[in-house]
Amino acid sequence: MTTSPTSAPARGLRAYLTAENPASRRQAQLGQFYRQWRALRANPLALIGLVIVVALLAVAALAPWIAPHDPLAQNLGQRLLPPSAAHWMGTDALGRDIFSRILHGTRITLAIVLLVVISVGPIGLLIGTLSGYFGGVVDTVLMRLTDIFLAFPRLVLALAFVAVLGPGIENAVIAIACTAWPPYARVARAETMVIRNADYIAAVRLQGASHLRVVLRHVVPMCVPSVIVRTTLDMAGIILTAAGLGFLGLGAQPPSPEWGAMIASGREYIFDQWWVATFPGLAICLVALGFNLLGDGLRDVLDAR
Amino acid sequence: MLRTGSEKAAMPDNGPAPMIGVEGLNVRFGSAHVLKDVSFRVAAGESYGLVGESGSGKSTVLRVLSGLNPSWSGRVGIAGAALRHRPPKSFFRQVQMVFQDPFGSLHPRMTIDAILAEPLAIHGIGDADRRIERALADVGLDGGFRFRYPHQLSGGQRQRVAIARALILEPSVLLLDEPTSALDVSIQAEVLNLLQDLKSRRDLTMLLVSHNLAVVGHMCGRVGVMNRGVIVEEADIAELRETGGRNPYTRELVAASRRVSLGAGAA
Repeated sequence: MTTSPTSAPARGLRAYLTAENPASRRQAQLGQFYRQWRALRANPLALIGLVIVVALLAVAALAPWIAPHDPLAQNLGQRLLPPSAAHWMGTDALGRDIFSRILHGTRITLAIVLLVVISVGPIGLLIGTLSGYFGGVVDTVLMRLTDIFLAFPRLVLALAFVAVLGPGIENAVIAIACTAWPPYARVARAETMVIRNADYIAAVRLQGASHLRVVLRHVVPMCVPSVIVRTTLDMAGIILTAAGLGFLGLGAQPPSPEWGAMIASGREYIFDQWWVATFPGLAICLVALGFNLLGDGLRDVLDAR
Repeated sequence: MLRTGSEKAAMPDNGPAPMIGVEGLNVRFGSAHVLKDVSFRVAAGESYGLVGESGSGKSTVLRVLSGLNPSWSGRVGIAGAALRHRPPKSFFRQVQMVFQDPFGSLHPRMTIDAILAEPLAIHGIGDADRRIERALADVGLDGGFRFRYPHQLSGGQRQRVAIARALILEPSVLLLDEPTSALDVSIQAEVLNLLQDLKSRRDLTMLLVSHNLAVVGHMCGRVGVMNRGVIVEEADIAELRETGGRNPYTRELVAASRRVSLGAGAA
């Protein structure tokens, strides 16, 4: 049952993770992670997605150290310079280095995405599972509420929220979160309606578990994988909505290097100075692609039982 | 004076109060009348079998007795108390159930350890570590299985886990819903013998539902034969073997199961 103490450390770790008979809760869990990681590793596209996402995280963490210029330093003598050795992606209308701005912009993008996900996942999951599990009146009320939010185009509703709350990143996050949760609730509800009739749910009910316990401890864990997958696939949409708000001037406010706002500012020069709008656009594209590929891979990994 | 009409479920002629007493149980799903005046009684420590083809209502009886089906009418007493439509938590310490499909009755994302710890946590029973180990040992699984996930177990092993889960609360009544029909033939006997063994060690009262007369014959002393929501005949297994039953449906069922076992013997 225990891993043999004589084996070399690397082999020992693998043996520990792949043990047939794990000796503790933690070992069983780590073993499960390890199996999923191996499944993910076997999928090259998902791995590319993972690399992009990890790179995004690294860039966001290291931006001040790897950016060659100050992203906010204006230099009107060097405005709209094409890409060169000094400015890899050229400079914008105020002479700011676009490469540095994109690197710093990862922080804003990541912050928006994380805040949205943290708020949207649990809300959607809770509403969806409660609705699916209890059915009846609870289901009707919650689902009609969801329908109302679903009926609005996302960007338009976000615009309305921002118009009421005022422009800024925090409000953009709130606006996006308010418009992003309904699909999660739908997904969670659909899964719950299947799960609630499963024997293992009947079995916990027979052990005397309360409804709350059944939902939180037994139904929710079954819905989490699909919500995680849905989230990673949705990241692209969230980034685009954030960029859209930025583009319309309702997201991050001017000096901050938000990608959508950068594209908006490059709009006027798009024919003569293509690089001003192109590079932030490529960055959005790349990150959206990364999250999408990762999400696709995760779906395969987490669904396999 | 065989029946005194207004006399309540006390039934003095049968000695002590039965562990399971069902009288005039009716269940309707919409317009379908699934159970029609079903009555039977199971004494403490007895094994009683319900046989019948699928759709005969035998599993519905079990769902009512386990508290999973709240819409029924009639008088049902179980483990010394009248069954309520929404049973209290303490009820589930007395009555537990083993499901038909061991692939569906264990939570796919929980380790065996977590699955067995859950009933203990729900009822606030301490000493979980020791109890889980003993419950696994009781069903013939060594400790190495404890931290595995259900998908790492075979069908027979899973059903053993399901039995361990049902017994970890030390119930007095165990309801078995076709406990072996999803298993390989070679595993079936193993699980049935385990159940026999556990029953004799723990003084359990068992109610077994099956479409397989051989399984019921192996486990139970008495059977009720169900057809279209009615118990058409109640008999001792030995008597049934000898006479083939009185009711035409029973005779058909017995003959069919003889043919099957003959066929299996010839193969």
